[in-house]
Amino acid sequence: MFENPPLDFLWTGVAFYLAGFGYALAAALRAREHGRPAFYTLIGSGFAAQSAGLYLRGLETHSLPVGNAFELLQALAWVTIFLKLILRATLRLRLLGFFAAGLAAALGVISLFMPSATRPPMGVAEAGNPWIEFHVALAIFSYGVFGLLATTSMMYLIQRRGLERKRTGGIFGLLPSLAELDSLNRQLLLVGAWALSVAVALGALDWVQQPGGVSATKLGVTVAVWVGYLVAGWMRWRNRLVSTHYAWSCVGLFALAILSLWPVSRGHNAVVPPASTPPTSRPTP
Amino acid sequence: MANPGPGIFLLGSTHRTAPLAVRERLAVPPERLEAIYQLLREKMSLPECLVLNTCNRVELYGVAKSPEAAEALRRQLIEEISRLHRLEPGEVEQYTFFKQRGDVVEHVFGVAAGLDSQMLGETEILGQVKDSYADATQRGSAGPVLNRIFQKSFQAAKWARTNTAIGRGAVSVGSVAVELATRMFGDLDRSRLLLIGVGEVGQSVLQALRSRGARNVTIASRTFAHAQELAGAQEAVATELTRVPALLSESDIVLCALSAEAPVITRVQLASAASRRAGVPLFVIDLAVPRNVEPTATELENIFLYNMDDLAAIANENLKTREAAVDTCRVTLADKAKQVWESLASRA
Repeated sequence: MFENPPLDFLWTGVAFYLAGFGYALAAALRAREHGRPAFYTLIGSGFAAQSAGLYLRGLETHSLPVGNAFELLQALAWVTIFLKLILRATLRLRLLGFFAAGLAAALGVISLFMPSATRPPMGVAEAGNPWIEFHVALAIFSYGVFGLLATTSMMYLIQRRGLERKRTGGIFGLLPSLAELDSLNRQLLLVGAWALSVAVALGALDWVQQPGGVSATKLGVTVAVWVGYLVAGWMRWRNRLVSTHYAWSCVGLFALAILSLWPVSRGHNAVVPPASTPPTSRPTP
Repeated sequence: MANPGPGIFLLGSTHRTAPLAVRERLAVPPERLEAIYQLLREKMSLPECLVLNTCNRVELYGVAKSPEAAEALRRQLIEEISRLHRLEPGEVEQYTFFKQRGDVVEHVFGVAAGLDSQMLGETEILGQVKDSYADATQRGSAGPVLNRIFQKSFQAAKWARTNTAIGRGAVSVGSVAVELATRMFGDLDRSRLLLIGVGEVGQSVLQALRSRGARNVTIASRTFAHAQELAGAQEAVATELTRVPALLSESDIVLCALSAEAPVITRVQLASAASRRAGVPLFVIDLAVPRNVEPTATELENIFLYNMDDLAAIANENLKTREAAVDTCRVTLADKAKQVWESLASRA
């Protein structure tokens, strides 16, 4: 312990998310809603620890700590919990915190077992360029929104499955209604797609100035994810992609977005910078 | 010798001890309540008394000077009640029960938690107990003994609801329908409801949905005058049966309760309605036997078709869950009641 303080903090954060998820799961299995004070204490503690870990990693590279797949997954987990905590008053949906904690814990655990978890941190290229930093932050934010969208889509699918199978009690009675989840899913896709569109536009401006700075793989994958969400949003708006098809599309697109983090984080001429030297990579979703 | 404690007693009649015809005669309408209180307070000189009167129970609680005095008051109370309700004393004795001391506390705890209700674990009873207690307090009839017992009973009922499955799940066809509709649409105040048929079952489910906020109701019947009559009473809109296929796509909840030999709503009609709803679910409740809706419609996407058997199965499953919780609940409530009684006895 304390050999690598940023990593220790990140482990602590994930442990709290797991504890929060486990606590809410135990209540859900008994068909009860979890106690809010205990749940939010656990999740809030995890968020604080994770924030500290990411901050310390950021200090090492003087930029956003999103330099490899490990950091990207950690940042995604952080944004998911951040959105849930900040938008708590708006997103007052039962069990959303439980599912969001589950997603954050899963992302955190996967990331901590990745080889890049123990490698020295990498920063964002042109760390001093506020537009690039903004581009990265927006892209991560949009992925966090899509993470939440995948979560609410899973909740929709579970509720729907219960109604189709004529199942009551248990978790089905605790989940929000199909109407509430469908409405939230539309709003989340709208917010996420807007944020990602702005991020892509900012990235494109930089790419036009330095065409060789980003690999074709990264460019292709990023644009594919972006177009995927735009098409899903357009089809939902035109009522051509509804109910289960829409929910599965949101889950599938997020899985694709997560998988795209690997080629994206490798899609640049990565140079591991020594601590306190400006990084030269541009790894963004 | 142990302290005998306060002379609290209870004379009651419930669905467990008396048939409906007797309960109807023993019931205390609001205009007679004052007479009962006068009887308990003035004629029987009870410093504390309370009347709990619901559809399924009439219970008179009193605190006598001692347990022995309470036993002696039993006969007098039965005679007075017989006179008041124009019944034979033997009849009153046959259909009532008498409890004293700690048994009264345990009984109140069970009643407040819904353990003694006809519909096990129902929540309305707690409100009724609270109302009766508030009424007795307002009349100045509740003193230190009744205050402690009833206030503790509210806590005990809350404990039972929070920590056991005694109140979990809907146990009537109407409440199951409400639970399912809520899982689909959330608040029902914006849901559009179509009732086909004016039978009693359909009306009871309609009432349950209306009690949860469903306001936009259209009623169709084979005889338009019947639809109009019910629509007038329910602040709804009446329509001809022939308009039902066109109304399906505009409705969120369709209640079918029409007496008919063959299905009146076909799979094709529902498929057509679903295709025009942009993925919004259509909840179809077929309460009729023989069924009003083609059973294969359950395979359609965004059509949630439940028949009477489905609703009854859910209600029965929930009831079993509640029944399984009774023993645990009773044991803990008895423990809590014992503590309250011992504390009262030590003060007396």
